[in-house]
Amino acid sequence: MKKHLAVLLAALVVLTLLAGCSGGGKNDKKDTIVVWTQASADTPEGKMFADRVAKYNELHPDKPQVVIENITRAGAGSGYIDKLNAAITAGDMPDIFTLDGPDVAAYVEAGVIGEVGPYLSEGFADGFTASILQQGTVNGKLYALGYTDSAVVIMYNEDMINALPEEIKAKIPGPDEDWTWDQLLELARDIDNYAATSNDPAFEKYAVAVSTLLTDVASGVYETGTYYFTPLVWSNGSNIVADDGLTVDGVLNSPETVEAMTKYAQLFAGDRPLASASEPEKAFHSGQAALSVTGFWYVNEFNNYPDLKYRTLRYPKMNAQYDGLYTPSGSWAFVRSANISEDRLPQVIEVMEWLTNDEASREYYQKNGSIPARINAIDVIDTNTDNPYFNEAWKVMQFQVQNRNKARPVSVGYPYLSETFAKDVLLRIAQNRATDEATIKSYLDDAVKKIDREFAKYKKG
Amino acid sequence: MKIINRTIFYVAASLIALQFLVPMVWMILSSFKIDSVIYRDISTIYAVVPRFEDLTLKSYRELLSMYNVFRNVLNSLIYASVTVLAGLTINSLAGYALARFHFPFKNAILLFIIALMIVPIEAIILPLYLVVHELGMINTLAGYLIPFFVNVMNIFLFRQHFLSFPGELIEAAKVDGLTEFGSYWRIVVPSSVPMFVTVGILTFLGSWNDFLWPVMAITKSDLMPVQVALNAIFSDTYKIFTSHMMAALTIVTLPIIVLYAVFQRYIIEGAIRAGIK
Repeated sequence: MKKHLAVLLAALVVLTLLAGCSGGGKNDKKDTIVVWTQASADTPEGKMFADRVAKYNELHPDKPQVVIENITRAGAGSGYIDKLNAAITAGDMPDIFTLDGPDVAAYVEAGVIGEVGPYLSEGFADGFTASILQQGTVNGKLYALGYTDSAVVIMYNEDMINALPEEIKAKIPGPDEDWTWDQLLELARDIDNYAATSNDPAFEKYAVAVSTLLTDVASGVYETGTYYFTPLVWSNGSNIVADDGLTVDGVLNSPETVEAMTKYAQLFAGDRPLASASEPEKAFHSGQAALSVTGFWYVNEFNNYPDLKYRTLRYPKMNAQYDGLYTPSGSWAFVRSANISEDRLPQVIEVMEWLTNDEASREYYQKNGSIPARINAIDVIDTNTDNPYFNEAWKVMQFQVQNRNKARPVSVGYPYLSETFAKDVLLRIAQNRATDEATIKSYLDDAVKKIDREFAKYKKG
Repeated sequence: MKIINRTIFYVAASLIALQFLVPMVWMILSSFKIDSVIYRDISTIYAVVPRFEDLTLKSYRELLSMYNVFRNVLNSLIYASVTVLAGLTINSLAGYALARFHFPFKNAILLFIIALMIVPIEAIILPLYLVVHELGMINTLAGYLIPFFVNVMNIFLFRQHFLSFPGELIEAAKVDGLTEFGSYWRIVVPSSVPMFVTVGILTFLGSWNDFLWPVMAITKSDLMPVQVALNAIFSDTYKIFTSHMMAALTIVTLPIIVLYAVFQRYIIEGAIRAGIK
């Protein structure tokens, strides 16, 4: 009996200890401003937010203190988004939280985030790049303040290009020149023809002319495809959804979109396709691809590939005459809860400004390599280092962020739109190696039907 | 003929074993390489055969200077151990009651438990969060751990096991003066070690691999279990690369390999017994 009593007591002690190990419980929202981010506390991104908040609290001891909570995300955002949605259901929303740019419209539609535009300090919104403002604007109202931007460029392997005959080399534009997908396809075809017969050591590991990261799409990361290749459609004067965010018929399957996708399909044409949805991992990094459609994060990764000589070109246009915004952009942004009382709103907005102002943008680049979302902060990227490849890459990306970046479509059904476009159009073309216009039009028509069915629930009346 | 059959059996078994072992060998070897070497070797035999001049501890040094993975491993070991101890106690007692006692609605309760087995965790995560939130236990270890002490699958496994336990032994124990709990504790539990080990390991793995609930229930980074830490590490695209990921995965996988190695005999025995009845 004594033994049983001892076991019972031990169990009680354990439970008491567990109950005692509290993380603080609910915050008293009168005394604090609670910020949730998708960046874990130990990551450079998590630390940069923590530092920024700590600085605010230190400089404003007389104001309600800001409490930051870091919720880990997996992949595109699950984990964090699950927790956020559960908290919304439980009525336990934080005052400020992060959202990925394309998700903002859905949260606006659900009525859980509030407008920030009218409450910002005078001129503050003008400090953001055009694409970041576009990303945070729904129905003409500003809801989200981006804290970082992104960029996609074309890179080429300098050793491979140097091995090419002069007439092919001459087809490469300068890093400050616009060029087109026609030019890129022609260059890639020439490189591939040369690689087929060359014994040059630079082509020893050659596997594919253009690395496209479609392997991500094939493994279910659909957003990569939409992020990388929607610019083909944009720069041909079309889009994947109309400005209302819900109409796809006549847009996603318009003649301009069909033309852009038919050009994209040329990457997979012929006996020797120029790109593949099953390209080797890190094909460009490891010298297996001559050209690469390259996200900005590659530049950092290249520190691990000291032998790689990478050169950078602008993202090509589909139509040479196109003069609008078209290059990939966007990232996570800060939004505010819709349930903030009028008396607390000014300080919440003040904290949002603190987290996204010019100084914050500079800090975020220095601590996490985040591309500044503020026009005045873009010069924080040092393009005069002793690494000429790094300098060139960032000069091109700086130019695109300031002059060419375009936000992804604002749509309440963006996740479905993006997934369908990437999976049922981009990946389908690549895997089936469909190149004729009629087949590609049928893929786009199929995608339109699917999206229309899904979007019916958003269409009122 | 017998020799040929045995040869075919061993060749086939070895090939199947290789299929499971190669990814793990690749992971461990890659954790001792730098990224450019990993991808240089990836489609060659050197992906799984070490070339000692390529091996380095660099990724471990860098990873551990940025992330305290061992703290997360320790957290997970503690959480999994508490869950195993509490889970074995609660679920085995429930299973014992369902197997040996007669009480009203026993079959209905059993049917309900079996029905619950098909409900995935994703389906109950939101209601669970709401309940724990209402109890004010979000961001507490109690709120994180207690909901998973009870496991319907484990109750069912114990019930199946106890059905085949010889009733004469329990009756004899009672004649010798043991109470109902005493005969469970002194006779049934010591005779069911393989079953307890099997269920214990399944529970341990479930707790070890859990990601979604810890993210929902706790936010303090120093309390995070290992799967959450792994996702955090993998989401760091600024300083974390493939070799660091492989190093983190190797550190996290080692305790599980040790667990399997130590309890291998019991796992097989327990699995066979659980399937008899």
